[in-house]
Amino acid sequence: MGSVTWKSYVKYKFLFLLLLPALAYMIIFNYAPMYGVLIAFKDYSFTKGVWASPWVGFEHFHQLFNASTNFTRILRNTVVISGLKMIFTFGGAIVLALFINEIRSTAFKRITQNISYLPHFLSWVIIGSIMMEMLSPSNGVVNKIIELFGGQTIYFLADKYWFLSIIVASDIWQSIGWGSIIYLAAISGIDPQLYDSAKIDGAGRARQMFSITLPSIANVIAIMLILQVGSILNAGFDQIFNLYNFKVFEVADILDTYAYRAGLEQGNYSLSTAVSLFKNGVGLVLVLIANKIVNRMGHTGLW
Amino acid sequence: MGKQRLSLFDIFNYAALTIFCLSILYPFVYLINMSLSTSAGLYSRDFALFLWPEGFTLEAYRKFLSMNYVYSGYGSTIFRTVAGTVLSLIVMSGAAYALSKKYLPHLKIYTTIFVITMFFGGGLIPSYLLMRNLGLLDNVWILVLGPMVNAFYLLIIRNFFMSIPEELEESARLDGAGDIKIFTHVIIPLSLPVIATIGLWQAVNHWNAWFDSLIYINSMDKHVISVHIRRLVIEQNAAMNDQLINSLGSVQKKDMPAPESIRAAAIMVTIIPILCVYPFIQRFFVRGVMVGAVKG
Repeated sequence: MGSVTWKSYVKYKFLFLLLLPALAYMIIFNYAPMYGVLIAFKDYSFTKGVWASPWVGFEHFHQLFNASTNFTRILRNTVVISGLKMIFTFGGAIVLALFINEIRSTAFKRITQNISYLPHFLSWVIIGSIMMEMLSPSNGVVNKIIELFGGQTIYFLADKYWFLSIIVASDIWQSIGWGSIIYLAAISGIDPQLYDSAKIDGAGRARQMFSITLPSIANVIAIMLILQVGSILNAGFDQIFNLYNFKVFEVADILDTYAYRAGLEQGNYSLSTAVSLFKNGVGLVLVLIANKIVNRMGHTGLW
Repeated sequence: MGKQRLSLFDIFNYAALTIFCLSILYPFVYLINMSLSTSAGLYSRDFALFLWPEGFTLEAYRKFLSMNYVYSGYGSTIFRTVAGTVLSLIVMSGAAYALSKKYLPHLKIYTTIFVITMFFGGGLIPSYLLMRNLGLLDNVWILVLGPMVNAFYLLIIRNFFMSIPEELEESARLDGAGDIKIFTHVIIPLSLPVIATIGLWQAVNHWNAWFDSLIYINSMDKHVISVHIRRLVIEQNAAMNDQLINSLGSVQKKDMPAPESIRAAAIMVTIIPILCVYPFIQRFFVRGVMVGAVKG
């Protein structure tokens, strides 16, 4: 047995040579950090390293779930922000796809699509910078407009009542066009005969949209929604990190930003790793469940 | 069917989508015109939408480009984008080819090793400690190596390789081509569409990346440009602000730009390369979404 395998390794040595660099990369850059997760159960000290640091069991998790770290606040913010994005950006992408589909001029359709994808290619450092300039209380155009109509200057990014609206609005701006691609593709796969016979039956445009277009893409919507729920603990680190500040922590601090501050600002490596492990562990379970549901529905999910 | 008249819904739809497009584009218009305005133009009016520049000067760009670390910042960004994309494509397409062969021993195990990383990771601190132990902190190669292999992209390439008929390889072998020649002269040329797509994907990721530079790099002259833009605009870093104000001179001249114009110019200089290639590359990305959606 073993010698047969060995022989086939020799036979396919070229393939293994091709595989090796990526495999080595995975083991070093992805699996070694997984081993490093052990420090969530230890009191990590740099001089001792991961293995020799003393075990403390679930102490860091106790500390995390303790009221003093505001764990409920972080978890609530994460789920609330994800949920809002699911309603507005995810839902908005479907509405946008339906609207674009109703456009008859091909040129207008194409231009609209091309413009809508554009912000997807910008990083949150750039989008955050643009927002800082436009929302600035001293010289941003938004506050200038508010003043023009006699309103009070609003500190959008430092006001916890405004912050979430800004997060959702900028997420829509960045992602709604990109999100609509998959639905437009699904719509383009609908059999045109369905529409023709509906027209003969006297169905108007609105009727066609609700009776043909929407039901035809319901599967795709369901799959995307389930996958979205599976990643509910990813509230968007890049976005929040570039826009938040201590004045809005109450509504803006999420699991990822907390892990960043605990680890790299306060040097509490073990606590930070406990947060990441909680997030990745729960996230993994959610994705597995989501995938199971998609498969149950008779579709091929992620695998 | 003939031509249908525009219904009320059509009018509403065209209007709504036009407003939508304008709201996507307006921030860019605002930035461009802000970056071209002079301080005299800016401060002469209480209110402006910046649909055109208030006054005109290119001085903001000149001032930004003469700030500290701008050249080294673009140097790092360009280096990681070029080296990172090339290296990533070589390593990923090689592995994807190996994984596309059903007769590769232990294929299932190897594929699983890649797939698992799509769903679970060690997290921020374990990765940081690893980089520290590897001695890669403050080394620009960390920016190239960190995002080198992406399991999702790798599987997309593998799926494409799987769709290439085995007969093509066999006939090349009969013509006397060896393993290496088959890979470089048959498989790769046939796969250029998917390799270009993934390459563009990686290039944009590299161009936009900032977090790895922020946490792994310490030396100012090694940071990517996004980190400097972040310090200038988002953190409103005192040292950078002082430098910016000083560069304008103690007495502000009328035809000089205001600080906000220089910040707008800084943002524009990072966006412009993306805006320039965008018309040519966006269809590749759309196609990529489809490939990814068909089978992950």
